[in-house]
Amino acid sequence: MINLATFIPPILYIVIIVGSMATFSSLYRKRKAQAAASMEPWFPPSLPRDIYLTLLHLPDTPNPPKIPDSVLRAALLRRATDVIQKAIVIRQSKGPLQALLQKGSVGDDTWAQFLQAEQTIDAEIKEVAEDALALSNQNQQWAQFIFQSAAEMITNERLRIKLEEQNIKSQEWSEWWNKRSEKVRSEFLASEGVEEEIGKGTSVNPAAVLTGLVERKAGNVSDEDGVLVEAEVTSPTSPRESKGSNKSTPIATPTSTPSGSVRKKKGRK
Amino acid sequence: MDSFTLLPLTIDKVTNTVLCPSDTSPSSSELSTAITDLNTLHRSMLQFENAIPPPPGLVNPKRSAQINKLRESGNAAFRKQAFGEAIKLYSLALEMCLGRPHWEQSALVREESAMIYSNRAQANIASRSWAEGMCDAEMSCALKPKDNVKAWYRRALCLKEMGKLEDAREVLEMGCEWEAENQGKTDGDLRALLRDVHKAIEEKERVAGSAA
Repeated sequence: MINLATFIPPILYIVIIVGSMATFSSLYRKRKAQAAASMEPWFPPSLPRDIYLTLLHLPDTPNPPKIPDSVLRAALLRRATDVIQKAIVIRQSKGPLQALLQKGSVGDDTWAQFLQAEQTIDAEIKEVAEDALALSNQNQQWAQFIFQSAAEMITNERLRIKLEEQNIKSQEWSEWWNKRSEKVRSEFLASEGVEEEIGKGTSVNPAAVLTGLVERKAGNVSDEDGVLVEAEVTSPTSPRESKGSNKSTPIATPTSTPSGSVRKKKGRK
Repeated sequence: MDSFTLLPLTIDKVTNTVLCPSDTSPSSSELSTAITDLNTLHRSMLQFENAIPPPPGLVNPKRSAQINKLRESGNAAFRKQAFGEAIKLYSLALEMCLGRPHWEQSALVREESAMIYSNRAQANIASRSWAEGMCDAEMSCALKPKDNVKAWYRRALCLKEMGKLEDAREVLEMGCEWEAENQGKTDGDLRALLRDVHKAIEEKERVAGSAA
């Protein structure tokens, strides 16, 4: 009996210590989880992820449709591109954000938010890799190169977007040039003494403009160059008509635009 | 983060295309574009065994061969001075090149399209479509600024022909910078044209001065 009584205080002591620690830790963790949950996510909810997971879980819904693996693969590849883009953003912003944190420009909560986003993305990458492994077959371990493919798709898409922008720009250019050459041409036709205008050493050779325009209109190029040159040579008095009506080729025109022909040769080498 | 938004998606049993409800709220338009992308990707992936696209290193040799063939015939047409025909062929080659599936190497697309653009610029120059030539050459320069003297030269030439002397000078200087490594070997044309442009600018200023 004496023995049991002497054991009560240390046991009580241990129970109280452990109990208080457990309460503290559970409370602390709960609060931390709450804070993490209330934190604004770094990235907006991802649509490719939702699509993939929806497709993956469609068989669980009542009246299950059959989802072929190929559709799932496509959806997974889309998701992989999305994840990889985010991973790149995370990696690029980590250094600068750390510097800002040290300077005190951003708060601890932003940093915590960032770290959480990093963890999420890491987990998602793992998840995508696992799913790719599940969807690949023996011959091709898709998990090994799904991210390569995804990264390539991103660069390719960027390239296409850039090209599209450039296309718009080039359309503007050609519109501008068409308008301008049209204007030059009308001025040119309005003025008298066409030959003198050509002779003048202005920066834009009106003759070059004119022939350029005519040739673009003419479009196709025939093999009857020699004949055309003759036609041009024999009618120097009415250059307007000959230029306007003849299907003149770049080769046929040098007689009327000496400077233009020199330039053209330069361009061709 | 172990939750997701269940989207109202269905699937067409025959064609295996994913369908989404069509209404006009802004979020659903985003969804429908994403779904369209997914379906196009799915269709293009179906050509492979198990619908797994190969790693980026492996490219479809057929397409490369076709692009090359089109470009070669474009070059042949150019040599025959059928410039319109050449432009058409180059455009076709370009379409093929840009139509490469997106999981193939983008570097390859860059390389090929830069070359085709450069060639088409040349054909445009030959048929005196300066604006089109300028744009093609500019594309080529943007895609591959290094080791692309011809494209720089053609771009500057077109600008000069269009009377944009200052722009031409800028382009030439930029081209010379990119070509600085091979100075004295390949950039002779560039420098000659730069001299021409400088002369033309001076001339223009003189004319403007005397007129004023």
